[in-house]
Amino acid sequence: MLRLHGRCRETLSMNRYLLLILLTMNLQMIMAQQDISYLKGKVVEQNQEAEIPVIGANVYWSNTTVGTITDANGNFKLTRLKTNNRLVISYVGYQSDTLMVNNQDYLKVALKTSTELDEVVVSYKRNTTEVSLLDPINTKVIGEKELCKAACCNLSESFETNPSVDVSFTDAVTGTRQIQMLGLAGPYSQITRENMPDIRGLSAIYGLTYIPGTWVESIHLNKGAGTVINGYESIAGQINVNLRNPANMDRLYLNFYTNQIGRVELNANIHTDVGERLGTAILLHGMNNSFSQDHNNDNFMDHPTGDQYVILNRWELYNNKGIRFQVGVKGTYINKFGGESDFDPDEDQGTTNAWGLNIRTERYEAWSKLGKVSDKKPWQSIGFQISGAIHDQESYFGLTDYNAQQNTLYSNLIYQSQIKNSNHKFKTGLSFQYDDYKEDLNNSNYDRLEYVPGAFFEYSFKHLEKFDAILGIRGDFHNEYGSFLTPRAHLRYSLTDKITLRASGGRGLRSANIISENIGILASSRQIIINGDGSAKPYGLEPEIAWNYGLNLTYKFVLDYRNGSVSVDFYRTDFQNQIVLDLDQDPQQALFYNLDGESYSNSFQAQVDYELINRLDVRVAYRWYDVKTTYNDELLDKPLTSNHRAFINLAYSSRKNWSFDYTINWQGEKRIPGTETNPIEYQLDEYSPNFFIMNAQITKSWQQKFDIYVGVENILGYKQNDPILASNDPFGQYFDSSLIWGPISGRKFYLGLRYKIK
Amino acid sequence: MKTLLLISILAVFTLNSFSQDKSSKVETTKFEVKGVCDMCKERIENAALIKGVKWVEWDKATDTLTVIYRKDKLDILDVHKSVAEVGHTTDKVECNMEAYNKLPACCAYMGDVEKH
Repeated sequence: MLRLHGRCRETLSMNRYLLLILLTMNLQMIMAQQDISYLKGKVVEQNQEAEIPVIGANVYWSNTTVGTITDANGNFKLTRLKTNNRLVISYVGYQSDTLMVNNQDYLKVALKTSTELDEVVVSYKRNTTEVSLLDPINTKVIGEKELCKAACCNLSESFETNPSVDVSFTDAVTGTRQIQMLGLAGPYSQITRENMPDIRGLSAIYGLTYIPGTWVESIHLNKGAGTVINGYESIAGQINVNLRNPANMDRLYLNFYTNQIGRVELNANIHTDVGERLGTAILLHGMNNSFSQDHNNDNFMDHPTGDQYVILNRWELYNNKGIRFQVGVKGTYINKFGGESDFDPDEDQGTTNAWGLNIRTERYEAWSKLGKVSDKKPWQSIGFQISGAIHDQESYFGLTDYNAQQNTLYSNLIYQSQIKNSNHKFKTGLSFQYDDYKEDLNNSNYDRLEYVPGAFFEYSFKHLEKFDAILGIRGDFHNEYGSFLTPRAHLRYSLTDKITLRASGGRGLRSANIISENIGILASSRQIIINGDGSAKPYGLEPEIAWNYGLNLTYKFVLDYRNGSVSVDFYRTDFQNQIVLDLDQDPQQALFYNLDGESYSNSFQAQVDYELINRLDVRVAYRWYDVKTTYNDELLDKPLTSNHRAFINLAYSSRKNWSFDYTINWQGEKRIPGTETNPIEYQLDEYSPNFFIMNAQITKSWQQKFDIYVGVENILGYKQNDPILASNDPFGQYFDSSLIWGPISGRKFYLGLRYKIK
Repeated sequence: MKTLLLISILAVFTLNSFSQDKSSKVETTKFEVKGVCDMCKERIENAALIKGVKWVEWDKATDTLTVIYRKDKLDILDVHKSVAEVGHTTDKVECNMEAYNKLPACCAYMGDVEKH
């Protein structure tokens, strides 16, 4: 049951911004014989002037197995049900729809073609985070409302209200946040922008900050093996980010944000149409933080200072005879300084006067998508995606210099069609990935070239609303690793109309960018040792290969007229090979080597969402991790990862446009890498304490145009004491700022404004 | 691990058995509320969902507001008043004209605006 914004029509598998359904219900009472036990009708496509019958469309009563397929003239005849009057019509290449059937005997349904070529299709409903019961892949959609709950400001900070993703700092000096899914580091999750690989390679960690939160329309989060269409790299999950696009964004959206520690942000999204067929959007972001602060008195700044500018321009051709075209460019510039409070970059760089860091990144990207849906066979379409990026980072961390460049090209050609009828669909195509890396760490070069041509095939089977299967396989050839296969499977079965069971399994492979993915270790005195075999493979190391299996149970219920859902899942990842970062053998070293032994991650999560009283949404979640890796013949917990986490989020919106959000997070103890060989004053406990973090936010909006929000992060002010080991001797051998298990800064107030013109 | 899963599944079914509220104090009623569009729908439903009301839905095609509420906690006239207060006339209460005049042009149901 949908309330408030719930529309009469409950759309299935539908992309919000492509409401292309045209629906005509002709109450034609011309049928002479009033056979009340059957419903008859015809499914057609309204194509300019003519009506073309749609052959083989699925017609069935919602949430039942009672259904039929239209015949050669598009006609159908279906037994009526006393218990159900919601009729679903679905057909590949068209938008599915559900309609209410009352007393009519004859229905004519005109479907319109769907020209959407994106891979992830999910239903859009009112809830801020929605799990569909119909999508075979366990996908959570984080919509705009949910994004507005989080304090700020970029993608890495958008997951605060989501228990599936853990966010932590990489180190105590760069202010970089990294994410984790299933207990595995961010780079094991594939992050795509509108289904094209985006945050990977050198930007795998920092890249999350290149996407300002106000640019994001929605985030699709799925755990476990993903689709083979977007590549072979995803292991723990996939995060697909949809940015604002001209087809459905506001004309103007302005956002201002500032917080207690002097961070100021300005974001602007501007949309104009050029003629009827072409739209363009300009997205702007600027951030400045110029106040140096040291609240824990360790002589190190708690946050880096500096500037960040990101600009994006995109163009989109509106639906024109089944052709879809879009093109975009993006530029990113980041310059930040951190380290000791009295560090002066001009005077002290390269000296031991004071420890400081500077990271300067320039990144330019361009992409395009072109798609065509067949005029005569609307279930057939062909799409082409291409994107390229130039990434250039120059940085130093104390006396360590790190400079890196990456040139990337990606392209993907996708053909989609069906076998016999829409119950059997397939997508197939070819892809090409090219990466040219130049890395220089203290004058050691790690240059490498990777190119990977590949081909994929994905078959989806659908049996009414009851059962789905997606079976995919891809074969790729990597210039250094050779050829490899990536099989993946997803199954969905509806136990009842409220309970859905999903299973997934698949393989993933990736080449680790060990330095940029573990950038925190550069902010330490650890000596970096790479035990490669000297071959031309990246760093002389093998690729990381893992299998992932998962089970998910989703249950939706209505209790006392209010909606709720329960979701329970279990995922296991087994590494065949992993590039292990070993911080345990020696606290003065960071060793990288191929896995020798076992490495796995088990993850269990239970989540309940319910509208406890009118307008008060509650989310309670618990998750448990068991992540272990073999370090030097010893199977140990992955460091700095808590085995237990519990989470409660409360969201209340009043009738007078006030919203209140509150989140409490509990994290269990985390293992800290061994420091027992250090002098006693530089030793740390074996485990961190457990702790709570609370955030709260109040928003008032006027006329859906203007919002003011104020909030507090970390209300309890809980901090990790002495986050930097040997902060009094940063050029000595014991210095280490990468052993971070908790918040670095205390309570933080913030204020923001949003203004929209529709 | 397996026990955890089992417990969760059990919890799911237990919840299910509670999900039907058969309280006789709960009443369903329908009445007419004037409006023309989806923005009206949002405004009407939001205004109708006051304390004591469990569920509301406004049907644009028929101008009908369905309200499920606790009759021991609420006089249904309060729902009429609350809806009228935001600018929508019901079959019992005339709307607050001040609020009506502030509605966006697309919601001006007293004028020539057709349902859209």
